[in-house]
Amino acid sequence: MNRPPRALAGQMLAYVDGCLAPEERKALEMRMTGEPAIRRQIERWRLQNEAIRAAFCESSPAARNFAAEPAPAGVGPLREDKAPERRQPRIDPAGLPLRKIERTPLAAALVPALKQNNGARRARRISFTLAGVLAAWAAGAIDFSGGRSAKLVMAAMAAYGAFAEGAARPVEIATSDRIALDRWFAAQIGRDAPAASEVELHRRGEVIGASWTGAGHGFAMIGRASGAPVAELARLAREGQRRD
Amino acid sequence: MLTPKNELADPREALRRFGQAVARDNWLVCDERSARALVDNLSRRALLAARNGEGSTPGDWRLRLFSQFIRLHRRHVRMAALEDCIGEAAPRHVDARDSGSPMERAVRGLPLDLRESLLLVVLEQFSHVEAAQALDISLAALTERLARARAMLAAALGEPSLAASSLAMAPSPRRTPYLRLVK
Repeated sequence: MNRPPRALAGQMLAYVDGCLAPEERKALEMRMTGEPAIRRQIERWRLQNEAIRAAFCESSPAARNFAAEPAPAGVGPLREDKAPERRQPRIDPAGLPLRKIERTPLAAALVPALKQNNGARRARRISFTLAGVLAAWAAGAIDFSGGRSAKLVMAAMAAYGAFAEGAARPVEIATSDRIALDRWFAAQIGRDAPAASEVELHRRGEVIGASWTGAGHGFAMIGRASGAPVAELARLAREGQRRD
Repeated sequence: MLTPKNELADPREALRRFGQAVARDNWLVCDERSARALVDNLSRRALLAARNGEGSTPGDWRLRLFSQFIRLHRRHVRMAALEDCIGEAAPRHVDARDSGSPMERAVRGLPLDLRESLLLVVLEQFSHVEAAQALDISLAALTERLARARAMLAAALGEPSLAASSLAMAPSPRRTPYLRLVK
């Protein structure tokens, strides 16, 4: 396709981005039917748009991690054209500052009682509220010892069995301690570390593979090549491991 | 040329998404954590500036917000480049830890002005007129940038047909400079 004239390219870009006036849009669509090169170009741009949106939408890892972060303090939702206002301290009619009190659940439960300005009634309300809070806490504790906690205990035991059965925990095995690492992995997968073996060649169509075991691990080298170079490369790699 | 666009319920999220996409350039900002910190900072300042009615960008609240973010980010890039004594033409290294898709990496490789234009229009679905207002450029300049950005993306992603067709528009008929040396 030759380079489109400036005006046409602008129209095509606006068409792809969905901001072309309806009459211009119709005219361009008419033109596209007669000129497939323009249609192809627009289709490519449209695919490009979709790829960009897919790359930066919420499903991409970067965007997902970013969206998972809590919004920074001070970046709260704002209403359009809302004038900035200075935050005033919240004062109860009784003269008690409420902001700090409301931050904890226990204190929040006490607020109705504290709002009463009468001495004896206030003390009685505080005691009743405290009793209610303690009862709710106790009920929660009893519930915690029921079915949900049984699942938690089972999961903890399974985790202990999987990761803490050995003498050392897996996170405490250094990668330099190859023997301990191999032993631990062998115990997890239920197989001993494979014995060292010679290079074996496998062929499927044009693809050839060389595999061998050594140092407790299996290795494979796969490629499209003739057998001799792959075998030679695999042999060199295996000898290199031995030297290490 | 105005068109309805997808309005998000919370412009903060859109701003942060746009900011993250624009700020990480594998040049001054090479990793996700740095980009996030920078965008958090700039978003906060852009929100305050847009709220206080700073700037001369007309249009709705969302447009003013993005315009403020772009202004602040450009200033940050200028200052950072001055501090490091590097220019936009400095070679960019490929971040080995960049786990983004090929498209993400290609967009990060675009120059800032092209990246801003493309992402405003494609990702945030601003109309061309609105994007030109937010960037404080003419509509023709925006169209030129979009065409260049698309061509560079196609070339970076190895799309031969797209790159060969040269998405860049035909050159303007007036190629002679305005000023000439007169003996």
